[in-house]
Amino acid sequence: MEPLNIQANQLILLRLPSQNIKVVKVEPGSIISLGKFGSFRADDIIGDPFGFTYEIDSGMKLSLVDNTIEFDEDDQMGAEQAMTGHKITATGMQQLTSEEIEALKSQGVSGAEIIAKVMEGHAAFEHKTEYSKEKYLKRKKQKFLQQFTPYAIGSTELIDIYLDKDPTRIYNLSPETLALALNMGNIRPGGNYLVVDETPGVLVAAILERIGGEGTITLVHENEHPNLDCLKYLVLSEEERERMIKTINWLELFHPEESEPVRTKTAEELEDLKPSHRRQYYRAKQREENHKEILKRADTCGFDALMVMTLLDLPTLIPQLLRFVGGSRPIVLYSEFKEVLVETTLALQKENRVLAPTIMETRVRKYQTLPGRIHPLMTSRGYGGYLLSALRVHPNRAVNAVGKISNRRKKAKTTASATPTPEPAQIAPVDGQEISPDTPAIDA
Amino acid sequence: MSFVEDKQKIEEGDHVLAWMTRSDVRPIKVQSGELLNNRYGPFKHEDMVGRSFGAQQASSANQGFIHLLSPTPELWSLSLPHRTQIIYGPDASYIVHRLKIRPSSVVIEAGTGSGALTHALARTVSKSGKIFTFEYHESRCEQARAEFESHGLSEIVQITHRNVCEDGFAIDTDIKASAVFLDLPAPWTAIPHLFEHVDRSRAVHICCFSPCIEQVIKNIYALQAAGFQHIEMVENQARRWEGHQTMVRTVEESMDLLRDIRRRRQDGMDFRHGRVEKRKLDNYNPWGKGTRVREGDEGYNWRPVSWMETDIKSHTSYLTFAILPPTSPDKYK
Repeated sequence: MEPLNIQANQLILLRLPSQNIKVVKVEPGSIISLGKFGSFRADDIIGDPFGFTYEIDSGMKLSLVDNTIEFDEDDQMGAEQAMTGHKITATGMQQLTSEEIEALKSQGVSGAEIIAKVMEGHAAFEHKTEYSKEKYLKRKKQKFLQQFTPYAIGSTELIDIYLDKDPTRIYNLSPETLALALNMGNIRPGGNYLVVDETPGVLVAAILERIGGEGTITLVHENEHPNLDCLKYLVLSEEERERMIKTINWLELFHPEESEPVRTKTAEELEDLKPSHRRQYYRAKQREENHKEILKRADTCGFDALMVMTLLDLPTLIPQLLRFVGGSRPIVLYSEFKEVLVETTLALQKENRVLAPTIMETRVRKYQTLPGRIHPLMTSRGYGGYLLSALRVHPNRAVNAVGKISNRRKKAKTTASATPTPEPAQIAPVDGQEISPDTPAIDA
Repeated sequence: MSFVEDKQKIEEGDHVLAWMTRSDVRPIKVQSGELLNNRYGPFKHEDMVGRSFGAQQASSANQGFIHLLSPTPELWSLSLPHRTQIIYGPDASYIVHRLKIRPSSVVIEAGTGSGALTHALARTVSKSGKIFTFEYHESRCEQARAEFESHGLSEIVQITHRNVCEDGFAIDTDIKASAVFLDLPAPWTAIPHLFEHVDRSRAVHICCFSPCIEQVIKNIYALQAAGFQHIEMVENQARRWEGHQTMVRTVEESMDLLRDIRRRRQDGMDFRHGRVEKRKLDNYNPWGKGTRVREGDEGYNWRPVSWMETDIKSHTSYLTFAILPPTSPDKYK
């Protein structure tokens, strides 16, 4: 899915020294412009492996950045001494004006050379401590270095793209929360996953990455057609997409009887159709076949995980989806708001089809790593979302009767049993359709 | 083997995790004739055969039940014998994500430790990928090897007893890894040994996992000296909550309670002074005082709340990530 080399006409993500990102299409023969960071020819990077950072030199010539640093044993010592020296932090001592810098740029002087000139002209640069020199240099690099790093677009980059564009479209999902969801969902090749993804398909894309071409994603969507807008960023063939992603809307899933069957056409009727109508007919037939397969899998508890990211009401939605999920399989729900997941937990605790519902949060804290001045960054993103993770289990009527009595008797002794006390009224599930594949084998 | 693929029914010889509570999950290998004993009494292995994963089973003494779960790396990390500090779920998932590990990836891991992360890595790289894991402690290495074999992971995971810091990563097989994870006391000493064992035709992702800031500094120097780029250090803070309900008690109800006490005291005085007959007044009891009220009982008002786990992992380790660019093509030389 993610090619290792830059392909012609691929959409790729460029990271710039300013920490900004830019999505570009690598069209052969085109010139890609990065604004103040310069321009380069697409042909120059086509075929290169991902992983290089390029520097744009004069005449749009590209070279590879190698910032390997050779260290002396003394480096750290020097840094420590510098900390005790006197500090000058005043700004505005720079002698080069912005017009002069622009003039240099237009003459094709490289970013590194401009920085060197800026430093030369800085009245007090020598009086700065090693620390503030380093920080000053970093700021200037972000401003002047004409560098870029291409990345193939995968789930990590998709999150960055949407956080940059419009975080609400992915409900403020953070990369670390998505990563945890994939592991808690036990996503792996060969699995068949029931997915509710109301983002433009970021969750679907992330699952695709982890199934590596084997397995299926059944996407339930709320509009008549699914929104999988973000798949356009991926290198994914039509064939792969159709083989791995099956879609069905809520009405088709819960009330298949309301869907009108596609009438089978005879060979003669097909002859008479216009080619475009014929294609439409085959597509409709294929969709019908897919739906039959999905419903068959659903009816046999055939899904290996339930992965949900939607604004629909989870406390009422999830109990209706449980019967499609296999025993001991994970249920992973995302919400931007912990409150929603708390309510959902309470709804699931009334069920005995769910074990140990737990709300989880994971937050990555980034550090500044300048030598000798390591500390957490002063600001970072506030949102990131929460997960509710649980396991689908098969209740056993006879065991529950036993559990009920012993629970009451032993409640005081055993602390916090992981399963809620089963209520007899809830043993027959609300949908009335669930048949535990386990016939109760134990006499009450 | 359910560590490798999803199964519906339990068969003889399968790995099952018997769940009592979150802190009491026991790994068993189903063998007829064997018994699992816990505080709920004995559970016969032969009763498990033919059941669905996820089924509830009562003890033979009918004193309680367990859930029969299919093993996953996450559940395994709750039940595994700790030989070392293990890498927990939120760190493990972030590592897999940041190192861009995918099905068919080749990964170097040193050291193996208790094997918690190895299981998570093996799940993601799957049968088409490979984990080369190294452990310097001989008996830990052998225990881990036995676990991987028993879990059906031998094809995916190759473990070597080795101190990689001194002796490097060279083994009989030619390793061309795209991701490297170093959980060692001194990762910086292992970094120079890596070059011949990573795939230099592509970007290689590395993560050094070190609990102390002094180690981080040395890791960063070593990574920079070795030509790694995009060095970023982070720590991950994870929290867990359970959903609960707390009773909503209003000040109006509180005042009504005080009024009720006053009313009943007055009534008692009236009786003593012969002003009224002895009678039993209804007790105003909006909060169920004196009775055993269970969370969520009907007849009361409840508000959903979240309880944070009592012991949080406030620091696991610092994770230093970096990328080694591929070897430069000739056109740039």
